[in-house]
Formats: sequence, C-alpha cells, structure tokens
Amino acid sequence: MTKKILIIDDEEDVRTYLSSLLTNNGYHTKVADNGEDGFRKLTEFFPDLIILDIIMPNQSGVGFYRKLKKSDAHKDIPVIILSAVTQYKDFFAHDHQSAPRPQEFLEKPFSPQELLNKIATHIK
Amino acid sequence: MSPNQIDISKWDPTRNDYPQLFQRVPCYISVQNHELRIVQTNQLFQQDFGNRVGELCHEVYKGRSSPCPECPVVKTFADGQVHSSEEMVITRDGQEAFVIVYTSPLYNDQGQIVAVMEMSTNITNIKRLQTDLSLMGQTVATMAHSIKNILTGLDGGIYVVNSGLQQGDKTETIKGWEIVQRNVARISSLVKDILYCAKKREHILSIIEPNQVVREVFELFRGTAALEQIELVLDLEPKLGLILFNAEDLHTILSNLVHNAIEACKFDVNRRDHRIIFRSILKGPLAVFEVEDNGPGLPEEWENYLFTGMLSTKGRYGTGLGLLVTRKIVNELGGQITFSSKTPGEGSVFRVTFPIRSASSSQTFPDTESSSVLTQ
Repeated sequence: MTKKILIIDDEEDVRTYLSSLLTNNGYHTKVADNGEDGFRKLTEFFPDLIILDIIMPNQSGVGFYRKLKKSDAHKDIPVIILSAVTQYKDFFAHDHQSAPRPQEFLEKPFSPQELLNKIATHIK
Repeated sequence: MSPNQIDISKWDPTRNDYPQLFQRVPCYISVQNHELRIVQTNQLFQQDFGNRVGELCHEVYKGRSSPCPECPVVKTFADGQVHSSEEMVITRDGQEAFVIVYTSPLYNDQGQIVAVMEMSTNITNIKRLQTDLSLMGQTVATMAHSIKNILTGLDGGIYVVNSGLQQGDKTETIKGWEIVQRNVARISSLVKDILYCAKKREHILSIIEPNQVVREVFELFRGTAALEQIELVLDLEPKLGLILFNAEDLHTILSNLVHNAIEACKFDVNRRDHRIIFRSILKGPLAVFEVEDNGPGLPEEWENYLFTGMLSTKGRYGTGLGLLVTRKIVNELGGQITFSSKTPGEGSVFRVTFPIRSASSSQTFPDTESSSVLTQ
C-alpha cells in the first residue's frame, strides 16, 4: 500500500519540491502551509510520516509538534524536522512541554537522497 | 625631552600633589560613607554628574530611591575586599553610560572601614562596539539563513524542471521554471536588503515633532491596511512636543514595525477584526513609540531569535532582515527596542524608547564630541 506523507511548510516552492520528489519516489503526499492547517489535514489524511518546518505563521512547527504529542491518535507518527534554522534543536531543547523532542532533523538546503533515506528508515 | 616635560623617575610627589592625582584620574571616583552617601568626588565625576556631595550614590548614578541589588560598595563595607560590577548609569544630561565599577575600602587609624572608594570607568564606547560586532554577526547569520532558503527553492525548481523534462510533462517543467525564476528574484531582493543594512547613514538631528512623523506613517499605511481590512488607530501623547531627532530615521523605524504588524495580521486566519495601534508616550526623560497589533503574536520559543533576522514568517516574501535593520537604526540613535507578546493569538507590541534630547543640551550625540551628526 502506498505510504502517506504530510508536508507542512509555509514556502510554496518547498511544498512543490517535496511533493514532486516524494511522489516520484512512490509516496502519496498532502501539503499544509502552517501548523494549524497541518493538524486539520492530519486528522483527515492520517499520514505515515510528517515532514515539518519550524518557522511558520499562525502555528509554528514547535506548536504543531506539541499538539501532535498530546494527541493519542497521532503521537506515534514519525516526524522529520526540515528547517533552514541552524539552531533548530534549541527550539525543542528548551521545550519542556513536549518530551521527547524529535529525533530526525534535516537542514535546508537538503540532499534529496538523505531525506529519502531518513524516510525509508521510518516507513518500511 | 622638551623643556615642558619632566623625568617621571625624578618626580617626588609632595603631600600637595596627591589631591591633584585624585582629581585628575580619568575615571569617575566617589568616596561613600556607610549610608552610601557621597562624601567626595573627583573632577570627571563632577563634570558628568555634577556636584553631588551629600547625596546618595544610587540616586545620583541611577535615579533610584533604594540601593542597587548586589551593590559592590555594600559588599566592600561588609568584607573589606575589592569588588567589581558592570552598571548602567545616567549622566547629568540624561545619557545612558555603561561603567565598570571597582570598590576599595578606606580605613581609619584603628583599622576600621570608614568609607569606600568607588572608581568607575566609562566603557560605553566598548559596549557600542560589542553591539556593532554582534549585529554584524547576526547580519551574516541572517544572510546565510536566507541564502539557505533560496538554495532550497532553487534545488526544488531544478528538480521539478528535470522531473518535468524526463516525464515529458510541460506543465510540470513550467512549474519548476517558475520556482527557479522566483528564487532568482529573491536573491535580488536579498542583495538589496543587505546593501540597505550595510549602508552608512548619517543621523542628522534636527528639531522635529515626533507625533507628526507618526501621523505620516499612519497615512502611508492607511491604504494598504484598508485593503487587508485592518483598522489603524492613532493614540498620541500631545505633551510629546518638539524633540531633537532624525525624522527620516523615526519614519523608517515605525514603517518597518507597521509593515511587520500588517504582515502578521494578514497571515492570521483566526480573526477578521484586525487592528494596529500607533502610540506615542512621554515617560519621564524618554520618548516611547509603540506599534501594537492583535495578530497571532509570537510563540515564546521565538523570543531569543526575534532580532536575529531568522524569523521571517512571510514564506518566500521575507528575507528576515527588516527587524535587524530596525534594531540597528534604534541602537545607532542610542535607543532601545523591545517586544512583548500577550497570550498566543492576542497580538504583540513592539516598543522603541529614546532619551529625549532638548535642542539646547544635545548638540552632542553619544559617540560624538561636538557634533549633532552621528555616522555609523
């Protein structure tokens, strides 16, 4: 069965890029442009994995992640943080409300192959 | 050796020479008693703080009614040791100055501490240099951050073009090419922002009516705000009359803040009744300007990164340099910029604060000696 990936990023170009890359590699994707939109899509799409940006309007990636970890239905979905912020780990390191912090980080600009490898380790 | 110079090794100071040494030391020196009352001061102290003998140290240096926490003079009275601290003080003409303070005990014949000498070196220029270096570092980091985002966009565009070509999908190829074009345009925009940030500016001061500048910015954004259905509100303090300032700088600062507030409201999908308040406030010797919006506010985890230029939430439209430029100008003018956010979803307030310089007292600007022009 085709695995589903939810892409949450406020940059339309990045969403288009990731959609194209992942679709070409056999995944089914859905996109959202902020954390709130992401949560709405989450409940209807029920993805196998989430690719999450950090800095977005309305609800940031950190806010989305907190909410995700509090949701019994979705808290076990693996998350890959994809951000241009170099100190991205700090955003989660200082967050005591949502342990454990995400395990997978990838910095923009990223290697497509590295992203695909990371995805593959979580989605068999 | 010229006839006016003496060989210091042959100089044998007499008792009468020591007061001169005390007076001429190029630091602020005050001698204080147990009550922290100043009993003696040197020349530089008198020049920058006035003749304040008999007054309390914390009142003179900081305008405080109670002693400062962690006061080094109190510590020296307690243990007889030398203590030091870094403090911000206010000179007689209302300028903030950073000083590094050392305290030393003075004993009587019975070996009791009767007074403490406080010696403070003005390090304001070093502090400014530190701020400038820090801003430079942040600008470089911001540029790197923006470039990373653009590179991701370009990578994406190239990938989508190639994917479209391989699949013979013209629509996909055009979509990819548009991404490439957009990101090339972003490079152009980034370069313009960098040049604006790096530009040397002359802050020529003149007598201005700050409320008039606020009104001009208000008028400038009225049309844009109306298009986004954002209400603009003016709340001006009439007592804030004429001040010595740079009207163009104030215009730039407020415009940047209002632009950000409009963007914040524009991207906020949670409410429709958006409002931005322009406020001027007179707070003692300070002029305060606020831009308050009821947009989504900023998450607390972003606070440390707010003025680093990395927090553009405008997706492909923002380079993140706007707030950095604003802070740079505010700093250059000797002011401060602060931010406070209410509960999530309840907006934010950006506040800039400047010491008021009256026309008569402030032909001298911080960092300059006798000119009202500051070049950074």
